[in-house]
Amino acid sequence: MKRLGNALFVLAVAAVVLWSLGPFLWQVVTSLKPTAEVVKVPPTYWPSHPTLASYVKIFSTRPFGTYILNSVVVALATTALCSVVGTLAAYAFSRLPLPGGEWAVRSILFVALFPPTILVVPLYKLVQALHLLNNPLGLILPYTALNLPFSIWVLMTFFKAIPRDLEEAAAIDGLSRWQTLWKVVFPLAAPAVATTAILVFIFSWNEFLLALIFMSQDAARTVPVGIAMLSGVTMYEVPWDQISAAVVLTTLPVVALVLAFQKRIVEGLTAGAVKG
Amino acid sequence: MAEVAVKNIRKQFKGGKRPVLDDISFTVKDGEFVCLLGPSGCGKTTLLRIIAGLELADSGAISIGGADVTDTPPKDRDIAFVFQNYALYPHLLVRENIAMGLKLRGAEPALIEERIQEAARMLSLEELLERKPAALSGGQRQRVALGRALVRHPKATLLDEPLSNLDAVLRERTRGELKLLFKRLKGTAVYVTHDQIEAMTLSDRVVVLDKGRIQQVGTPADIYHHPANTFVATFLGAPPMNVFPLEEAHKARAVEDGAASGTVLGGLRPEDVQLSLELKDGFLVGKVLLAEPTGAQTVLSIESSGFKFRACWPGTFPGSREEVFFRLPAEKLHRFDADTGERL
Repeated sequence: MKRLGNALFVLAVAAVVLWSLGPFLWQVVTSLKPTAEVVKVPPTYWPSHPTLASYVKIFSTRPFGTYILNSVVVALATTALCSVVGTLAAYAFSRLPLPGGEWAVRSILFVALFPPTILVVPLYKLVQALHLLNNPLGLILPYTALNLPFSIWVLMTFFKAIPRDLEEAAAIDGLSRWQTLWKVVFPLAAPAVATTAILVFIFSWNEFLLALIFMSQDAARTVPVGIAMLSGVTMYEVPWDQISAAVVLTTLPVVALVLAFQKRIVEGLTAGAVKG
Repeated sequence: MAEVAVKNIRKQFKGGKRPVLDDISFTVKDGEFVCLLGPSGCGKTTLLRIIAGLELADSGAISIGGADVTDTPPKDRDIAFVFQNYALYPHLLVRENIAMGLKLRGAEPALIEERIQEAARMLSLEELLERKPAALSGGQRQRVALGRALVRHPKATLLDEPLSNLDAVLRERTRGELKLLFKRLKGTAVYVTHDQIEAMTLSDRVVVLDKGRIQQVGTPADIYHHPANTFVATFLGAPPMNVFPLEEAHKARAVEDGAASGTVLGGLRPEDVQLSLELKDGFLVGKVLLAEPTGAQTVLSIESSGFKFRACWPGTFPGSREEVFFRLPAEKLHRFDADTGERL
């Protein structure tokens, strides 16, 4: 009976994994197929002659390298900006006696309630007025603004959980506010900062709408828009193999990042022991 | 080491009805160990935090070693603080925890190492220096917190109920070690506690606080044998002092002393009540309402002609007895004003 239960459990897990990963695995398989095989009926589940031709093609015949570079710049800059500003703001809101602090925190959350879609037009006007269309900053600044409320709120809850005594001990030991933040609070909050950083990175890496509208020149496009703009020789041809290759390539950095940070997060949680 | 002087400290929290500290003044002499003793909410921790500079008083002054530090930030007061929950940096090794204060003051690495070793020897931390706080027991963390305080050789050490998170056995042992340690260091210390045993055993002098006011300042013997008012009388001692309208005791003929009026309270420590199993001259008979054995003594609740009080019977009280003979010696009687509670 127990064995049967175990078998069912494994089966259920396998089903869930397959269900979630299935589309992605299909992309991987498609990306390895020769162009002709992609649209073959009935479909093949494994490429008859696995090839990296489509990977080569997206770099040789299209500016995919530029897209990736643009995405890396935008996502990393947004993440860095969000982490630094978010950490400082969250610390200030959770610890310093700011006049009207409560009110400010609430209004920040309020801003986050607006659906980004209704912000598109005014944001476009703003970015245009700042002459930042087709400039990475034209995405970095709006992305940061959209992600900051979330970052601040997540980090604030974490900062509030750090015992005040620790910071008072630091004050008596002779640490300044900045030193306390840097040497005591930040190391303890590292897991939370890493978590928010990952989420911000994923958002910025995947964002489509603003990137599509603000970056009209091909050289300024980020990966999601670049992929959507991939077209075949005629307008009726969709280059599925190249699209798949591009999707696989853009997913990998995110997966790598999450895995790398996940280890840090787990480490942080087990070694941290915020409890005094 | 230095003298700590507290002058006319007043503090009221925003929205509070009455001040948490109301005109507090006392001086801790150089090398003296002083306890701030009082029930929870009496303001003792706030007072300690004001001395440390973690909190600012509304008015009044603090001076340490003769220098006015009322507006000086904590780090420049040259004091150490031991927190109730230790507040060790969880991400740093014990060694780094202890060294932090010295390092930030730019001490030579050799001196830091020497001081770490000295503190480690004093507190038996040698084996623990390379560990993180998470890998330590409560007692060990407490010693690290002490080490962090002592390593700087501060002008004064402030301790906020440092033993309250330890279990009973460990607390008792650590209390003894603490006393020996500070005796050897001759360090000025201000120690906050609500535990009268800690205050009595550790202190050179005790400051008893209640409702934001100083009730009495004195040596442990002083405050125990000459309590300044009924609060101090009943707060110290287990079981606490019997306090009763003197008139009532007279009616029951329990006290032979004259001068009874409705405005006087009598006080008598349970251990000062004389007890006997046989009728002796000057003794009265009382009914034993309750016998609570604590091992070394049995606490008896006694009633005689409607007058109730508690008394200590050395050792175990014979369980079959329902009556006991007692005498309330007039020479041991404390007298308090019934209206103000002040000692007469």
